Amino acid sequence: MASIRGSAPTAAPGGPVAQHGEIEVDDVVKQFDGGVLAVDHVSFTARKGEFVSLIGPSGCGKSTLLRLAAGLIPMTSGRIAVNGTDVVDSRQDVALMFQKPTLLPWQTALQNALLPRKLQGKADRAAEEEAYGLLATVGLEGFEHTYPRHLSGGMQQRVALARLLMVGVDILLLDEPFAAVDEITRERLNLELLKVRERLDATTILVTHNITEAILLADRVLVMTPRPGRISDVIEVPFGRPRVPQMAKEPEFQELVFRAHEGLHGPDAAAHGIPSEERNGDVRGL
Amino acid sequence: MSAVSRFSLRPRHVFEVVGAPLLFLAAIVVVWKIALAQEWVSTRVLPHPEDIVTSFVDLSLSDIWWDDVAATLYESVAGFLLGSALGLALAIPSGLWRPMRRMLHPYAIGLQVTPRIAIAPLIIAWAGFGYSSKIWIAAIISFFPVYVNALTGMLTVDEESREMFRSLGASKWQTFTRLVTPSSLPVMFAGLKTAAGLSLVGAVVGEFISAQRGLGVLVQQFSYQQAVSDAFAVIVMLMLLGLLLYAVMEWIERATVFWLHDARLVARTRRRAARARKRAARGSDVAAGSKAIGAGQR
Repeated sequence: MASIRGSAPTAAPGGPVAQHGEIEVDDVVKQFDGGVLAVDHVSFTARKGEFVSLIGPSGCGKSTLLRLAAGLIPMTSGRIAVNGTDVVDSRQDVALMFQKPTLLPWQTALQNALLPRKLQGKADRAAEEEAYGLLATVGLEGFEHTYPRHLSGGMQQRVALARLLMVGVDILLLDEPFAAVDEITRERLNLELLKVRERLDATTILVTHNITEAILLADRVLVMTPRPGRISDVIEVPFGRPRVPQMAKEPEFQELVFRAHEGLHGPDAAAHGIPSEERNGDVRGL
Repeated sequence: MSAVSRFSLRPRHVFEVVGAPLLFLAAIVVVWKIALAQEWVSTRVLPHPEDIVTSFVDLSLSDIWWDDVAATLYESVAGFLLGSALGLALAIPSGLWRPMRRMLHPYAIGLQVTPRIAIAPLIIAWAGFGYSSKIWIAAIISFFPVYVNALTGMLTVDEESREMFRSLGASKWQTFTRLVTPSSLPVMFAGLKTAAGLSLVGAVVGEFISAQRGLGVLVQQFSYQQAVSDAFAVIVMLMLLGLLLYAVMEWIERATVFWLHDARLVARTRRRAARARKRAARGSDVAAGSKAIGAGQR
């Protein structure tokens, strides 16, 4: 089932016009105090509803890039536009999810999921119903009144996912959200994520170590080099939606994995054969 | 950590909590008696345990020391409250604004390291011979643990949680009330518990220097009179008061910082789930009932 992606931005005389739901990263550089160059002139645009994966070895700046897009840290130079406006400070029109669930231990799963609305002052009965529903969607029915201390890491991350969805915006920035979760749950949560994204037509950027995951979920995969982070390759993923895990076995898929490895290590490494851990799609060892 | 409440009355549990310390006490008493029998130490220095018990009972049954118990208790609690309030009053602005912290911190430390015994006479000269001087001394002793713990609690809020709040657009006030304050409570209570015990010390120190009433006065009197077992009985009473203050703080802590205690969490979960079920049942009753019945009673 081929999907039709949003139209490319029309170029006005002065430059491309940003649209709602779009994330435009324009020649961004980020250098931390102390001299660490995390992001080195990165540019790309995520169109409305597009799912973009960002892969790269540890320390290549992909998490930094995400935080820059969310407005959590300031850029050294360059420009990022989200929903048509420049990012200058932390944005409320994006929803974030990190590797650690960061739930509040003194609140139940339900209360944690309601946090975004409570902060907005809109935590009414309807919001509560919605939270109940979302918790059921991520498989936590019956655990709504349980406290984080009694939830496993995977369950806590699922609460964080429900919380992300309660923010109620259609731009999702995810930083290795399921890295600490077991494989089975991870697969389920990824598919859940795809369903949600489909329903919301949400623009999504997913940072991950896992090449297979990156390719399976995304429309486009951006491959980053080790620090300083630059984009070395952009891989279009031509598979139709809905995606199923079995697609990972197809030869075309494997070709994309191969290509991703080239982007990460350089062409020679791909030619000399890929070590077995990395064949499973995990570049964490780099 | 066991999910059984500290205050459960199960036989095995009672044995563990009460029996173990009693066993230890019995061992001490044995060594004690041997020491006296072997004359390693004279009864003028260390009376027989049963003499101490007798003194304790006599003093309790008579009218002699209850006024003093009340006086010392009053001084400690008032001093603790005053010292804690001052500690929090300095810690909160210091936690929120770095310039404030830089200004105040050296003085807080200065107050702590200056020997209180040296300051005490000055306080008495200033506040007079009544209760207030003892209260002030207790307050000065209680101040630092509360200040430093509350400050530490505020400064060690999980960075990722702060980031999460920022990303959700929380105001500074929301971050302070919903994140910083609850996060700081565990560390702060550790400080409060320490201060509770210390406030008793402060009160007694104040009484030693000059007072007409209080357990410190009593113990001094008994010492001068060579009524050693009476003096020891007062010390035991002070110890019991200290334990009482500590237990009260512990009880308050368990109620406030409930998320560190499994038993409390389980109870809360159960209560909330039950309430939710009731609401849902009522809701479906209303829906099942006539539509003429007013808007949802949920």
